[in-house]
Amino acid sequence: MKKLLFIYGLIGLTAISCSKDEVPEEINEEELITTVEVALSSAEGNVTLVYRDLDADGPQAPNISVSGPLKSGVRYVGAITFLNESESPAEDITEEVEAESDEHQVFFVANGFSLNLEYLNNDGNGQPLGTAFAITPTQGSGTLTVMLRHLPTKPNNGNPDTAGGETDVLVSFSVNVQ
Amino acid sequence: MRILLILCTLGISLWGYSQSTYHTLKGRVLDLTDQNPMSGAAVQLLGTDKVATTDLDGQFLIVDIVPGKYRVRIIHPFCEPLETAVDLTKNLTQDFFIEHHIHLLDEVMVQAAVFSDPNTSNNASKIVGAQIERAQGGSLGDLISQVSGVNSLKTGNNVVKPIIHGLHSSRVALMLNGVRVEDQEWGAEHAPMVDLSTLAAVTVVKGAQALRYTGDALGGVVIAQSTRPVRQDTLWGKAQVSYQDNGQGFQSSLQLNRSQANGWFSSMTAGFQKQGDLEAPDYLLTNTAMEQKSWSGQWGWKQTDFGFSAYGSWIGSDLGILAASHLSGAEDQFRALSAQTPLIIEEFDYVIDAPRQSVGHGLTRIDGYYRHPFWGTVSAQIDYQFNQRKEFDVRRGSLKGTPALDLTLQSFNANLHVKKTDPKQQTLEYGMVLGTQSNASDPGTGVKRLIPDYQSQQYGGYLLGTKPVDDLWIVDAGIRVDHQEIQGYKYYRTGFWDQRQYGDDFSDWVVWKEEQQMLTRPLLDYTTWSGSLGLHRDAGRGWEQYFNIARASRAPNPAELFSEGLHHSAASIELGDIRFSPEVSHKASGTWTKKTGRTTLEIHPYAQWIEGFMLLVPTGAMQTIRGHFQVWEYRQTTASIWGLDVDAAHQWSEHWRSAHQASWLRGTDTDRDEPLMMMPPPTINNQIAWNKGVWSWSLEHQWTAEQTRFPKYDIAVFIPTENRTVDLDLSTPPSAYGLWHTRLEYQVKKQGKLQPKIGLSIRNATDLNYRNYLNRLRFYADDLGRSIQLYSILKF
Repeated sequence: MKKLLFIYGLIGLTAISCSKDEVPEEINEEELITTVEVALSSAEGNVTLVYRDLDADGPQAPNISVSGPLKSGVRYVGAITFLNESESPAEDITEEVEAESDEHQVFFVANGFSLNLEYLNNDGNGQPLGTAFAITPTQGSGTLTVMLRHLPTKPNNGNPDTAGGETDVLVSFSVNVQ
Repeated sequence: MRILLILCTLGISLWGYSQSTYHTLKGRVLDLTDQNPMSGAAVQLLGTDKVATTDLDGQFLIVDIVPGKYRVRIIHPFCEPLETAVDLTKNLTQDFFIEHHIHLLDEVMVQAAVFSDPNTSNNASKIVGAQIERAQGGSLGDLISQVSGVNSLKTGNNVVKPIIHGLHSSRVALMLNGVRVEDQEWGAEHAPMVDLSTLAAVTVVKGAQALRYTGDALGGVVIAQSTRPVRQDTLWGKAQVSYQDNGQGFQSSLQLNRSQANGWFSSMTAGFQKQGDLEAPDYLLTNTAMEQKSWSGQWGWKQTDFGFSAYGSWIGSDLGILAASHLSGAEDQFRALSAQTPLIIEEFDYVIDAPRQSVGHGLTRIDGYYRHPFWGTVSAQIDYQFNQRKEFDVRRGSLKGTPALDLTLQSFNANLHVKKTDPKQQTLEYGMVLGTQSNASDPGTGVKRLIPDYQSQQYGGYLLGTKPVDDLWIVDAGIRVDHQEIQGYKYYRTGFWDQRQYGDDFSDWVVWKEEQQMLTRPLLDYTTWSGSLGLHRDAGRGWEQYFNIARASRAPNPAELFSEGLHHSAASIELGDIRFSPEVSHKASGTWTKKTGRTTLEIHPYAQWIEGFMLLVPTGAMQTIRGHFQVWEYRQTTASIWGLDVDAAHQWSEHWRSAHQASWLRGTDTDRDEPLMMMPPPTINNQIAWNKGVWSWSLEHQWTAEQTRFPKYDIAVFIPTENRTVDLDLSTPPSAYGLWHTRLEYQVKKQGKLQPKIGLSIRNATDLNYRNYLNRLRFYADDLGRSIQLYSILKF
């Protein structure tokens, strides 16, 4: 009886002490998106919008930059890049999004100006994806919001309010259209 | 001889008459095997015309007895009559144990207990036998919420935790067959896993008086117990099957018990449960399927003076979480709150998709006892537990099948307990506990640890005593001291460490520090003490009074200390604080009970003050790349909780009975003079029950008030699609509601050894749409609609 207790106790203690006092492995967030780059190019010049938040859910504020004003009535061809820059080298999350194009969609919302949006790439079912797009803004100033939704209802009418899904990216840029 | 006895009795009786005082005999008739109350047993005081019948709780009362020594005969339809001597030269409270199993009747064992329970002033409520059987397929949290003052904290309908007097999680301890269940109980969405089909009795102690088990359960202790072995040559058991239309769920379990007259015994149980998507009155609750498998086994040898046993159990659950509740930031929450119906509703299925929890809990225990003529009963126990929790989120790419949280918690505990009872019914108990625990998370998740890897050691000791002062008063007192040490490795975001200025106090913890990330080596220790003083008074005429004052103290748990970052399943950023000190509670409570043959009444007021109460509240929103997230921070404050529980029951006639319950409490953050969050709203339950022969029927109305006392913690969020800033209302409780439940049971005539029972239960019979304040997913969907359950139980 005593022997049994002793052996049992030993097994329990060994099981616990196996993991004892090792420095646990550092975890790098793998799905993390730290950076959104929106590159807009046109014959009348290029504009780049960048949102960068290297500590992600940490207390440091994000760095948001817009390289300059947009021109009213000009058609800009846009490309979005999602990056995880907490890793080195930076991981390009855009590739994952494009590989699972049927589960993702990028939405654009403009406040303070209007936006004529064209989706330039589609998923396997012919539904819009939106990592490549074109916009033709009209005069005004306000915010351009870019959203990446995971598992939205497809097809949808382009309105993120009714498209459902889970928000993977939601960033707003202050934009001036002249 | 007999004539002599009669003469004696007569003499004593005459002497008694001359004293012109009368005595009462009261108590309960219980099943010796599982301590279930035996209703409908006749208690006859031989030599008099006095007879009482036990009520549904097995209670009886005989009054106006001429003082003397008598014999009592107890007759029950399923049992051999029992006769035993009682001394009624004073008032007597005694429980009688009879052997219920008809095939065990070769020998009837009698046990008497005159309040030998050390915690006589406990406010303990016991749930036994049939009540547990009826809860099959449900959760422990749901089962014990039928006790007044106990509620359930829910995350959907698959994850249910008990709340006792407004407190939950680390403040409620669960003892399963003498082992404290260590299952990462700190999280609101971490429910205790217990297979109800293995249980014979569940006792709920409202308050921290159960010092033998723990000193840190500010809310209370839930003590769950399997069937106890008997020393008989017998094989008995129970098989159960049930089907529920809501979720098209089925559940089955089997229990076998084998025991021998020479003291050897063994038992095994196995259970399986599966359920598809549940249904609210108007829509399906997509991804609320669940599956659970469990088994347990026990083997041992039991003699009067010596015994040992080994016990092992495993329970594994896969729990789906409502798909529509899986959200990212505050903007998503606003969409969900604005929607009238859940954002995701799909066809019914049994598939458990992400978000889901997959939890396994293994428990093993070896224990032994020895009755020493001088020292009393010495018992020793060691246990080892393994708890693995995996939480799967909706993820992208190669991480799709990878859990977002993967924790393994291992605990090892040893304790030694000594109990001595002297002939005057004074008891003395003392003991010590030792424990070690390790928590490890799998780095393969690709998600930063919310809880760091740590080791902890704890040891403690306690001393408890009970002393009957005179015939009417019993005093009990206890003290307990615990010490805990935690060592871990914690990666902090450097920005957070600096913002909190942890460097001022904890710079020696730093292993390395870089711009974004740093590694620290936390070393913490806490010493806490707790105590309890209780008084029990027999006030005569069926009235009893209990008073208790208890101090409890709880060291901060790892979540309260170390949380830092996004809690994926809660869609919020949670921040702990390593500067926290233990919380200390003082609680005063009283219980007045009246029990006569027909009526029982229990009034239980209480008041609790907690210094350093750790609570998690929203403090704002943080901008992230996924939009704004609510930030919840732990902070310490002073809190008060006071309230009242009332229970009443009356046997109106031979066939009709009614039971009534009301609970009300008020919780306040006294530092800020604002209500505490998520405090249970007032509830009133009324039940009528009818019972005739093999049929029984009950109708229950459960009314839950709207919680009008709540703190306002809304956050303002800019919604780009609407071009405006909105208040995200995550504070306002839902409206009051009343639910109707009914049940019909038929006890089939005994077929030889077999004793079958079938039943039909309808919950939320009116298919009412409602939302429950204590359900964390109330923002996203209505609660369950009508559920019809058909069940059968076969005892053999």
